[in-house]
Amino acid sequence: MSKAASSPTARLLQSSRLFSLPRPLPPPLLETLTAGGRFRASDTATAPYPTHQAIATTPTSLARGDWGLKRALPAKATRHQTTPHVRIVAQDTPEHITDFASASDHTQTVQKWLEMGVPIVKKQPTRTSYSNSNRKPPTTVFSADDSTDPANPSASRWKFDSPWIAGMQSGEFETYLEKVVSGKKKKAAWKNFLAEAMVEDRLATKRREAQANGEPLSWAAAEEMRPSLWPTAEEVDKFQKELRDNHAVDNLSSELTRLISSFLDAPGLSSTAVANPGKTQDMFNLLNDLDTDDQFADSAPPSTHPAAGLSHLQTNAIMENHPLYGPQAHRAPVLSRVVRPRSGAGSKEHVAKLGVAGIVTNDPVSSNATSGFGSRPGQQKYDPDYMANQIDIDLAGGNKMWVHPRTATIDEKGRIRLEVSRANNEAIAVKTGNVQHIHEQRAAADRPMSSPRMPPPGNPGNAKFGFSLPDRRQPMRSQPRPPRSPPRARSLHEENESEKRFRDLMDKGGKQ
Amino acid sequence: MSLEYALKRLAIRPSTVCTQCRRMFASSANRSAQSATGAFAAVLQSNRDQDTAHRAPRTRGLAASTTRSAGNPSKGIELGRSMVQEIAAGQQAKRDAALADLQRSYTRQDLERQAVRKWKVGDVYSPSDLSGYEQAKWKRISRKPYPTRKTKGDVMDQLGMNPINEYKNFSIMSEYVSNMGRIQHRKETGLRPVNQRRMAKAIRRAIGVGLMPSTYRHPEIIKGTLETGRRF
Repeated sequence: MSKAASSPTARLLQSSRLFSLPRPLPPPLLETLTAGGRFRASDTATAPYPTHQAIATTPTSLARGDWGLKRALPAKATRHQTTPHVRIVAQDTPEHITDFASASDHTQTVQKWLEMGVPIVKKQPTRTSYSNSNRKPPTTVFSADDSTDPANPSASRWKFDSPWIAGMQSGEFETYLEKVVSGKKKKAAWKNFLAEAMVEDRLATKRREAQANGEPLSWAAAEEMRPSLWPTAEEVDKFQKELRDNHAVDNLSSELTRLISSFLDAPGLSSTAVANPGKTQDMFNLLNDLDTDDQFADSAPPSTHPAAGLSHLQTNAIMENHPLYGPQAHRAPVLSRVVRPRSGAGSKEHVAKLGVAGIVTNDPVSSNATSGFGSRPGQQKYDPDYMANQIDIDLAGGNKMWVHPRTATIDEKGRIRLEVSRANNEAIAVKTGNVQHIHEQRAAADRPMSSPRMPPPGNPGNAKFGFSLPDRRQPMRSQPRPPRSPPRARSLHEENESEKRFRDLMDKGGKQ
Repeated sequence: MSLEYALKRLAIRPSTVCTQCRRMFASSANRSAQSATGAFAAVLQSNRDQDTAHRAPRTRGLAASTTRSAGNPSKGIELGRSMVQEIAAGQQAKRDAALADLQRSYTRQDLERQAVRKWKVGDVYSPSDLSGYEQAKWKRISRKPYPTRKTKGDVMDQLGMNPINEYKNFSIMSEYVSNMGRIQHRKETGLRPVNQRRMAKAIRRAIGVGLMPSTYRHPEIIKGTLETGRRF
């Protein structure tokens, strides 16, 4: 139904908040239940993904409390928010109120997430055994190469008609077999499906023969031939028997498996396993393929699109261009919060938990490589191991760590699994503006023999600084080195020294 | 621990160890750790003496060692001096930390105990999730709610079991009776009407044939509960 065709009233209603707000998703389970049936949870905690639509309003309407809803929202609760976004829990209740809550938690998270520029990649196999030696580089979920692959039509899909059979309990599976699969209609459809598969098979043979004779079969001729190739019921039964017999030998890589999964529209098994029926290769290879090729083969099917609408970036191979120092080898690091250090409250964990842009992830370095067990290092030194080890009670703002966000995947529960690495020291220096020591080191390296050690220009070691701005680096080098301040929390909108200098330069240039 | 021992273990040894340096290594830091009042007294004392008695011997000692090493420039002296400085700095840091702990009204353990929530990968948080109000909610332990048909569906249907056939399985039957042996209501069990009737019949049958007590749970179940401390 198009909007233009409907009546003015219908159009008004369709565009109103009353009708345009989508139904909320079921609430996600925050805590997994233990065997004892006890759990800790909070009903007001931020969910791992938003379940309600967040709505905003114009400043003028906000002042009046007008959110396009049945009644105005109280200005006291919304007017003084930095980000006035609300989610509507109920448009109207028996108590004659509009139930709403702030949605800033998720809108701010999205804002921070977008600033990081993380691409979402396909899920990597979880196994880290020897069979993973041919581990592929991460590929984006938007890559087009899979969707054009006719041999594996299900590879780029994430939504299937069939329920997740592997996740069914035995009773559920019995019910599914009884109610869905073994119905009369479904059986007839299966026979029809087999007959169609046979026709395609026979047509392919005809085409091959015609090709061998030198006169390729035209599309019209093939269509004409189609009805004559339709098999009888006995032939279909015979074909089915053959498939079953082959399945006993080939197991999961058999033709029958492929046909059934495409008939039920279930997530398929790997393309390589299906493409080589009858060839029982090395079992490890097969298992490996089952794990790597199809993302959804052995885990639950995803509940969202693999990118979850969070990012459309296809790569993180981006070189950032700093306004003063030129192209950088590393992207600007992000200051993350150590939400749970390795040791604390009697428990000792393998890795610390970091909060990067409000999303919890694992510290990439485990406790094996620790060195920060001593006392607090000097104020000047930033030590990520020390930050990850335990809470520093004297550190204002809590433990923080610089990280580079790399890639992310969305798991089957819709949670973001962010992969980070610890930040490069030089990248931290550039980010915080404490670059004096880098200049000094470079000058010291250049002094004895000037050019041969220098990498060619345009490389990370010898960045092209451009010529549109006056080169202010020389006076900087002659200055005494300023005392370095300890790492501190820096909000996203705060300027650092170099940015300030850059702005000053631009101001001066504008005046001239 | 005296530095003399440490220096004696070095391959390259200075001819003599500055005896004045020893005083600060044999300071009362270790003894003071034995009691809180001792620690406090030591901290106060050390603080009082910091500028006068502590700094002076250190500079004097260092000066002495440098003058000595000037005549005989050996690496051992340098190493020793750096060690002296390191240990002194370490002790100073320890003293500072002890003083700071005394001045503070809370310890690290207090803070760690407040951060109750066990963060999992993929959790999203906003500043309010780090607040004490929110963390206090994670402190409470809740019991698993009974699976209702709305949330989880009929358990017996899911597992493809007929309760009537399970009347001899007292551990299943015990899950569907209360502490006092009463058959649970269907809003607690979450079974659909047919299965609830079957379950009730199975429980009555189990009690009737003497497999299960009628006024308490099966003793084996109670025994297991007592052993593991797990409640139903």
